[in-house]
Amino acid sequence: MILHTVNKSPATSSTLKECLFSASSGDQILLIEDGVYAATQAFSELLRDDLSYFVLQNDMAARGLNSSLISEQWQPVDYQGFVELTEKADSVCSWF
Amino acid sequence: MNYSIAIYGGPYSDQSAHSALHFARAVLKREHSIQRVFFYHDGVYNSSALVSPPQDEANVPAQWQELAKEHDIELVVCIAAAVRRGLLDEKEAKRYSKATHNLADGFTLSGLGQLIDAGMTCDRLITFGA
Amino acid sequence: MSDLLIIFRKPPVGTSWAREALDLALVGAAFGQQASLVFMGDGVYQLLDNQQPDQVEQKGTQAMMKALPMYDIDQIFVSEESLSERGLTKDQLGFDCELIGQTELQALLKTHKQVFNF
Repeated sequence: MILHTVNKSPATSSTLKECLFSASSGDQILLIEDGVYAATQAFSELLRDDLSYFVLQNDMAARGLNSSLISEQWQPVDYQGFVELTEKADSVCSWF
Repeated sequence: MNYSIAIYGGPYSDQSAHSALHFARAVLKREHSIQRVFFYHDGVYNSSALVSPPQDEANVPAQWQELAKEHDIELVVCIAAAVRRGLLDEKEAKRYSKATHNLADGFTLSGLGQLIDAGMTCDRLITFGA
Repeated sequence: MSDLLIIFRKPPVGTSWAREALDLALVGAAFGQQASLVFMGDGVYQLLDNQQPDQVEQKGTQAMMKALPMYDIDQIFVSEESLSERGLTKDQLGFDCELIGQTELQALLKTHKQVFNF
């Protein structure tokens, strides 16, 4: 299982799209930095249903995104949670 | 586990070095080790000794120096990416006949092979792109 | 199977990403690491023929791309979907590379422990 991190807004960059295209079933996606905007309701249709989705809550909070703006597929994690995801993954692939 | 971190973004223009610092602290808190932080692309700007942020902003090179010293982490800056962007240690300044050098203490200029090596030898290599 | 997978997703001239990613492939090879290259997204533009980056005082990537065989880098893949999204076909490319679809791309990521993604 690969952990993919994405740090760009899906509205201005194809980074998330390219990541979702390249991920294998069972992989995990973690949004960081400006990538966290992808967790809002407007982009939920981009998501595949065979991946797990995480979003860095420090970056959400920094941008004023609270849980009411986030679609339900996304599970918030803090930096410790980020590290835990990297521990469990076979490798980590960064999309920027 | 043994981690290494790659940083491709400069401080004060994007978030990657700050994200990497947060991540590094969390890695250490979970009792892993960090072997090396490798600075590439605009990430090399994190190694300038001349960084002078306003008082209410973090001094990023100083934070790396502190963390590296406390936890025995190598701070390696890609020499080719650094020299062309004007980040020089004493030896490179001499080689290019420059009057001064500006690589901060605790950082080392070395080849891109150190990034390849980190990928080969560490359990995890985590990249913070710009 | 190769040791390193390097993914190229940025165009060749406007930024230094493409050159710095190729540098990594060449250094990896010098370290005895067999590298496979994947061009996808805007990275496929690196493969177009007849680039003249000197017109804008840039070096571009073509000279380095031509050096790849000397480093025994011959596993060069290009995403079929990325090409067709951009209205390009394989015969418009200046380099010999293998077309791959989504399944092959996913398999390449899955089977390489070391993936450098630019």
